[in-house]
Amino acid sequence: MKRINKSKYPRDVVAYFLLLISGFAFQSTAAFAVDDINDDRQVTYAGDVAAIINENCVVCHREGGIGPMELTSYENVRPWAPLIQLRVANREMPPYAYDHDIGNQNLQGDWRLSQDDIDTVVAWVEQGSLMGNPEEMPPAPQLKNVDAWNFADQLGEPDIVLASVPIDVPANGNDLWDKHFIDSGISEDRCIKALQVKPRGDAKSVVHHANTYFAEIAEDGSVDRKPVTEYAMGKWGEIVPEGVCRTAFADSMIQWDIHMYPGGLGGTAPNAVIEDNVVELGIWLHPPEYKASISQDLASYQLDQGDLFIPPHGYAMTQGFHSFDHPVRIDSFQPHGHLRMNAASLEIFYPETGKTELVSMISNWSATWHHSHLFEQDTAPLLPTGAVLVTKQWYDNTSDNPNNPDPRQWVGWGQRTADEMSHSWIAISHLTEELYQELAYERSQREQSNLPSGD
Amino acid sequence: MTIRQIGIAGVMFSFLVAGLGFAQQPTRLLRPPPPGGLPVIPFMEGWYANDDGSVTVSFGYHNRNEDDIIVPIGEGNRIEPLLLDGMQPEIYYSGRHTGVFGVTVPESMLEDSIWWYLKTGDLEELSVPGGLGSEAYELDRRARPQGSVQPYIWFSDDDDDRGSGPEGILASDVITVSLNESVTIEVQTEDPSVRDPSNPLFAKPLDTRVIWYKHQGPGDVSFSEHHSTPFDTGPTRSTRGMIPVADSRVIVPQGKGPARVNAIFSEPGEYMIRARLDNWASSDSDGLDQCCWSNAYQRVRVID
Repeated sequence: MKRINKSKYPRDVVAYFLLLISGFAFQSTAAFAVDDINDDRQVTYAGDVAAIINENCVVCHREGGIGPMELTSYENVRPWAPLIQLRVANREMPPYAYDHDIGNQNLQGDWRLSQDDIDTVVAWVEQGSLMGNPEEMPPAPQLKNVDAWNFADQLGEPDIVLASVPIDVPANGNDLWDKHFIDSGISEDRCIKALQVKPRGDAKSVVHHANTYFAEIAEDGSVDRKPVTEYAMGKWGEIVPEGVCRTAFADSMIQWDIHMYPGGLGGTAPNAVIEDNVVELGIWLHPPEYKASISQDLASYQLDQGDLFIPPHGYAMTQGFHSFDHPVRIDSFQPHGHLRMNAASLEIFYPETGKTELVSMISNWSATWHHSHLFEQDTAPLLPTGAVLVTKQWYDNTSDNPNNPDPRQWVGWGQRTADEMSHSWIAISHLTEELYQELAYERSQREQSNLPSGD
Repeated sequence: MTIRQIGIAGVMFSFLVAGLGFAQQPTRLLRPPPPGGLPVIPFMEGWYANDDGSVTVSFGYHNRNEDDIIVPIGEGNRIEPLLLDGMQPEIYYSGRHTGVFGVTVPESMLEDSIWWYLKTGDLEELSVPGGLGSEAYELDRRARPQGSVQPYIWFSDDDDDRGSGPEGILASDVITVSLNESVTIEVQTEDPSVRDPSNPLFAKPLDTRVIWYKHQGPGDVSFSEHHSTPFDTGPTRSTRGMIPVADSRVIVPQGKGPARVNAIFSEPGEYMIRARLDNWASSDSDGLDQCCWSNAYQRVRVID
């Protein structure tokens, strides 16, 4: 039997790149319709594209970044231009998979390019990927340290940083789950403003997930725990909406639950031993006097785990439902799966009207980018009592799935990267009936005021 | 139930799983699967690279039916090449059962195509490949982050020949017993896992557990507790709701000592009993995480 490399994933990425590049020769110029770019206008790197690349790509595609190639100058962008064109045109890069033409589009931390930017990049490549006038070149971006906290620009450094106990991760072998406790140092209940979990250095490519819990340990060894936050590969972080309190509980331990994948996943997988693997939890807190009338929590909404089966060389789709006995607001949505999962959606079914609303559709989901889609507070889905969350997830266990390690296998629920899951992490603001009515009224008023006069 | 509990417990109150392209189900189900009539799914759990160049493949299964399923070894339950056949179970208990047996593939056969075929009743034959495959399925015997390793299990007569892991150990002798005569089967166990006592979960050594199963044989096997190692009757739960826990289970205090069981057989013939020793009380050991447990197999010949 032929040995298939686990790091097939990163190598596939390279192979995929090569395939795309080679395949590009067969792409006709008609493959990319660029309606908004005047054919008479010359699009150049210096005048048009550099700003887009600097703004959206360089954060990862830089020395020491997680992108597989640097894109910091015309000289190192130019050889990749056909691939960049394809990936941008297909909305595969920047890596924020979220369908752009359906559902709630008002997201915080949305990495997607505007259609204008996409058209500009496509036209630049169509026209020969020219440098243009160097005097039009925008200044080089001021890049943060690659290990900087994602919310540092807007929130400063975290108020609390909690590091996991270092552990060496081998270059190969079975997935590992490191579950240990550390002191939180939190001496009074506080409201959380934002959270980020950050694997240090090479740990980024081997840490599949790193969940944290406020934990209390009973004498019999049982653990009562409440989620602090969830991290999965590629996740940016969480911001708690204003006026909402997600509690950091006093006098609790923090339990780390870190799933590691020896060898790593993604373009920078080291396939080597990583010594002293550490994951950090950064917590930004509101001031002690901060008060909020809405409480938020984060929870996993999941199928019965024994009911996920994907046949060899086949497909599967799961669907699950949940409703609350009180009104809620959905603040974020983050589907979770592994290498066979390739799409997910969130819908709301309103029993009183019989209507279903599609909130989010992610038709090109990837296990290397677990985004928590943060809805803008003013348009985050408001659910009356009894409305039903409907989550759907799709799986491809065929060889057409470039992430698939072995399409011959039956795949069931399991924590390993090679197994599968079907759940979503959803941050919920819990509302009273009065508060729900108040928020719904404010929205209707806002919508009325935004209507053109005469409507 | 508090709001938070509702959220955390937020298990979907209904579910549907549609296996598209699920060859043995030509209809597309729009409801939860029925309690019976479903094929047992064979799983290749993963593979271990051995020092001698051979590879040990761990196999398990999932029986989604409420009832146990019998599939005798033969045309409907075989491993090819047949040189590797023989250790797979003939009884498939309801639920998910990981690492029920292992097959060691010698280095000279690593290029061969190795498959386990399983046919449930009149349903379509299912199969799963073994051998050296994707590294995503590579397993290892190193200590887990909190120190758990595969525990040792062996038969009293073979103190120097300890087994560990899914492939475990097969008793060198065959116990012969008369029909309806009770026989005592005994294993010795030791969990060598080294854990940090400063971790509040490991302040004292963890107990381990032996569960007795019929593995092969033509008739029923009734297990009853042996007075020296009584069955555990305390509260227990299945692993993540998927791996059920049988009544015939013995707790081994502090992870070292014997486990015994009495067995009576309903029909004459050749049987195999499996003892599964696990240390799943540890936070880094779990059947669905593919570590840490070990199997021991005892052949029993039942005569009239």
